[in-house]
Amino acid sequence: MNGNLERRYRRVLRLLPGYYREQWEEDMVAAFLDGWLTGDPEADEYISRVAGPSWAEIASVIGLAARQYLGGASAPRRYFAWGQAIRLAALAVALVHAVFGLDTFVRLAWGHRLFGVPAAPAILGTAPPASLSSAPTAGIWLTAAYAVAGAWIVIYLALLWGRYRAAQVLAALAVVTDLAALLQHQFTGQAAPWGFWSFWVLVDLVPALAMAAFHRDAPPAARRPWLLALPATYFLVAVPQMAIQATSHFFWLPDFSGLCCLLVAIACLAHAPRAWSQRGGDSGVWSLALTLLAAVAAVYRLVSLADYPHNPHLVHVGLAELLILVVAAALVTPDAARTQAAAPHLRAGGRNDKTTARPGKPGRAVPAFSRQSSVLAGALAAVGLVLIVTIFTEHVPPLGPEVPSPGRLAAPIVLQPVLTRAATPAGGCPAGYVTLPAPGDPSPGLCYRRFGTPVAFTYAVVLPGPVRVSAVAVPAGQPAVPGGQPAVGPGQPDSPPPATSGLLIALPFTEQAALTQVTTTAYDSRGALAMTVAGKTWALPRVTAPFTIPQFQIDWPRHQTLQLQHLLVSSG
Amino acid sequence: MTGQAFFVLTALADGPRHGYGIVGEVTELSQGRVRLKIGSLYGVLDRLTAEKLIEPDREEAHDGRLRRYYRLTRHGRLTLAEEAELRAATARVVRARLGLPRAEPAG
Repeated sequence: MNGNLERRYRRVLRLLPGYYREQWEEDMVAAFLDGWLTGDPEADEYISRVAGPSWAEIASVIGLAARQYLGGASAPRRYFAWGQAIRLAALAVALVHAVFGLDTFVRLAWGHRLFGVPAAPAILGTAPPASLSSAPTAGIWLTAAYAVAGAWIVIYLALLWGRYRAAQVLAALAVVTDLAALLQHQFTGQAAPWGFWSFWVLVDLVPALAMAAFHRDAPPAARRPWLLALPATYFLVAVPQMAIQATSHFFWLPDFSGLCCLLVAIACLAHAPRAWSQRGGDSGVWSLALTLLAAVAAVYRLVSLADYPHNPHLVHVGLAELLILVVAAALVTPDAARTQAAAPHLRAGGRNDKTTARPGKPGRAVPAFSRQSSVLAGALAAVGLVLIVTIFTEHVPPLGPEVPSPGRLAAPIVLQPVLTRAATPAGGCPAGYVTLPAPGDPSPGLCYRRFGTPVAFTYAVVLPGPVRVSAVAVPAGQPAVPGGQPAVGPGQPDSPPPATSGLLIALPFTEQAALTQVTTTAYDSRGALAMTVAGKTWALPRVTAPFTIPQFQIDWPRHQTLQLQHLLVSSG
Repeated sequence: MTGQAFFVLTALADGPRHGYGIVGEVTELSQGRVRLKIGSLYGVLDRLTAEKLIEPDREEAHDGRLRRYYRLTRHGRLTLAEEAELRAATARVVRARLGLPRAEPAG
């Protein structure tokens, strides 16, 4: 009589794990049918033919199923282990995000001299590619990137304080913002590298989805150790990174996916002895979490290798990172597999949990395994040590994306501060002022007067930009990027804005002071910079802040950029 | 304690009820603000059972289906009373802060 309606509802209930259905299915079906059926056979016949579970009803079952599979404290052991492992993994990724968020703000503050010390050491302004999925240079996307960096710190803390809903909503916003930035980058600039997309999917989207495991049945995270992990990770990972960059060794830093591989590998090695000895009740859950993280890091590493199609060396480095990760993860995977295989119907702490032993008691083979694992861990640590030693004696090739070292320019770049004034209505300039070509400047028609000491730069890296792989990207936090505006002048009202193309000029580390000085002079007198190369002079837009890193980017219409590039690098 | 759990416990305060009976009672108690879906209800019932706040009471056949009734345990009754006291105290503080007159004692 009520066959159809009942069948439809039972089909929805199949989303629930078996153990749960065993206990509750009949009850749920009865309660559901009670809500529909009237007791009048004729009416019930009709209802059962046409009615079905509403979307809200189905959604409530989906939510229930998610809470069971990503089990809370009362769920059976296997589901609890999965839930716990996914929560730990999501928390670990949120920690990494939060650490790089913190790093971004420290660099920003330092770049703006908020610490009372002169300026951040040279290259430091260069944010690691980690914290943001793309490196915007200015404008609303830069603001959005800072908002996302800050949001992740809040998300991490919200998870620790049990504000799961707030964390989930913020994470969703952060993920959408990153996607928008990435799409904007994809469609307006060059295509985003594989690394950015895989970053977005694996490090943004997947962890945000995994936050579904933080539901009201989830036991709260151990707040104090996780809270301590934030400064600890910052000082152990972000600060050394900054130090390496500050000493201009930053070519030795692995790219972000490589860093992820190494961090997960280190965590696996650190956990391996516990995984084998089975001390500590939640060892299996940690093994499972690390295995999940290792899988994500491995996929991320593999996909982002596609960014180095012409660089076999970096592909080799990437594969080596992958190998280290796989070996380290192999140490904890057996423990994870045992945990995962626990009988699904046994409640984690319930009465029907007859076996009081922890899941996956160590077998007889453990001593041999733990000896093996310690030998392997020792070997890997030795490899790491050798690597570090060779890095600092500079006898191995770079571990990260290579940046060409500054070469001698075909013609030096001379920068000189200039004062600006508007042209007279007749189009002439006041006495002592001249007009200068200012490609890409949104407000042409200015007159310039040179003042201050010109500074010449003879060595630089000139890269067609925007260069967005790793360290050479014009860093977030540098507001003073000349020509950051699109070149739309009143002279060409109907034509579409000409395509601009960037040129990144990275000066040697030692030229930092000179560049800061000349830009500070220009900034202090609310002036601009005149750039002279091989006898040609251009005006760059007004300096909105002194440059605190030895790089700047020029965004001009393409032919002018090419002309400048030709002047700077041509051998003739 | 979540709002849903609070209402489910309250719905069982004056006697055992079966699944759909709880849904109806909660709707009535909350003056239509809380309409439990079956999926949510059994999430709550599962948790409250695990926390030993409620327990199965009896089963009755109705139209060829078995209805399982639930009742509050002693522990559940105490917990509900504590929660009600807590909520009332909170409400008193809020009313005082807002400068509203004290709520008349119920009953």
